[in-house]
Amino acid sequence: MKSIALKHFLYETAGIYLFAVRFFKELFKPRFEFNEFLKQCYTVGNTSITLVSVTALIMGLVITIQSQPAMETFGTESWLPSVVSISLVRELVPVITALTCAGKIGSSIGAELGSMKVTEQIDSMEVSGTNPFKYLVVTRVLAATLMLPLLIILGDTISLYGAYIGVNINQNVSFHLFTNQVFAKLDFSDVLPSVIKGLFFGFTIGIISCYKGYHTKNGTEGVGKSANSSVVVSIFAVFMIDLIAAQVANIFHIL
Amino acid sequence: MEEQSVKKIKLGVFVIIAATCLIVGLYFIGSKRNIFHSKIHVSALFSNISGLMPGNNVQFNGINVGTVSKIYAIADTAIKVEFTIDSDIKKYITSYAVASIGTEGLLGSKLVNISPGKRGGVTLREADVMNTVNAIETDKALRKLLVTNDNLNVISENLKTFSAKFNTPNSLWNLLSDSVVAGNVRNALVKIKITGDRTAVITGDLSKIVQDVKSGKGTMGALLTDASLSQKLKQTIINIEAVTDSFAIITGNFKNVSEKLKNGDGAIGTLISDTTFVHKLNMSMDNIKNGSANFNENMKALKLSWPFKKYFKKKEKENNK
Repeated sequence: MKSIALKHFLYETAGIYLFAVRFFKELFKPRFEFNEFLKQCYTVGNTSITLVSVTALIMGLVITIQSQPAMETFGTESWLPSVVSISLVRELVPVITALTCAGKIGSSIGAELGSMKVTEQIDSMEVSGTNPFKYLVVTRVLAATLMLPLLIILGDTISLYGAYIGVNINQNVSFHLFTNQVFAKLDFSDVLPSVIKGLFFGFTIGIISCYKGYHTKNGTEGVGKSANSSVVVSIFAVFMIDLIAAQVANIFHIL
Repeated sequence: MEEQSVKKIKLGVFVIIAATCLIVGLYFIGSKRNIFHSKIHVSALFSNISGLMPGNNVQFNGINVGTVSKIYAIADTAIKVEFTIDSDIKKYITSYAVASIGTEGLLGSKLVNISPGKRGGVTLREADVMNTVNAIETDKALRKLLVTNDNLNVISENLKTFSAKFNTPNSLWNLLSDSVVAGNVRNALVKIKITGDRTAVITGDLSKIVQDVKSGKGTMGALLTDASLSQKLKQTIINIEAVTDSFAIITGNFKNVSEKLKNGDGAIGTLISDTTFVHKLNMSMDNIKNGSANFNENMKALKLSWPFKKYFKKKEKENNK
């Protein structure tokens, strides 16, 4: 039982890796499905705006309110905007955005591609001369890769506004002072890694969800399974990448 | 198809908004680090930079004007710190400006502090090396503070014993609080005042006298102011001088005489120095004495003798009258 699970895990890992290699091969082949790419961008990006915005606003607000008592104990309330903004921009907003997107995008891609697979639409595409990988997978992965950083930037902005509201619950800080305090401590080495991290999060979520959907088996039951596992594996992968990214960003922060 | 283009527009709006947020954010961060300003590169030499790092702020009178770009050692006691300064602010920084290493707040990150120094001097140019003053090293300051604290301790201890002594009954305080003493002091002061008044009067008189003397009134005045008198005085002094000269000559003679006397020259010399002569003289004197005694007797006898008796009686009568 144990060896089967391990075997399955290794098989999946190898499959995802090969899937990613194939993605890069297909990416630069001609016949670009630009309209489909824009459509997927809209699906990944615009439909997630509300979800990401609300999550980010609440995140900023809550983190500020929760940090307030601790900062008060040390008498460093005036540092609250700086500290909260660093933790939001560096870590919380990218990860929270990636997790919500993993749930939303991962499940939709997994389910969509899975149902296409089980209803043999992908096979018929191949027959009709359209490259299904290029049309379905490359556009979706690319859309996720490019949209997630944008969502993260939007999330950063909105969460900082949430932090501004949170700070003003207990203190009276003007918006101008708040912005100054935030940008006094923020650095390029805080913003750029979080954006680059967004690219990796988007790519990982896209690749894993597409792989899971693309390799759905066992009919309708398999669609549900692949939608579920694409979300679970994506979330897991997001945390793994975050762990690696933290180490790498730390190296660049020291340099 | 209509729906498709609406989606594309929405997507475009989303992308533009997100990109704008990123660019604005990066601009704010960049403006803090003065990346988008024109700037000049200057440097300064320090012996100890106490943890300054590239990227730390450079402040001019408290305004952020640049960042530290590079730090490296050029000798065992010289650390070269290169930093940028905003072109807008450089016209206020002259060659007399002084750079030092300070801290943001009490425990904040390090920074380079530029203070203007004295007036005049040329403005800062690219690649200039600024004057520096070594920063206050916190541990050194704390060490000094420790000594100060010890001293303060001793002082306060002394002050304590002093104040304790001050409070005891036989103290200065007692003296100060005694009303009798105060009364005496008051009386003394009154007397001093009276004396002062009198002194003032005397001084007035004195000044009047001086005035009179000046204007030649009275003996003293005449003495001091009469020209003929002074002429006479002069003459007198000249005479005295002449007398003194004569006296000197006399004294010289006298000296000769006394020397001769000593040596037994001349009659008086013989008289004084010859002892046998003195003996003879003594004997003569005795003889004279004896002779005079005999003469006295003779005279008495004579008085009583007849021819002269009458005369003595007459004289006695006259005396009794």
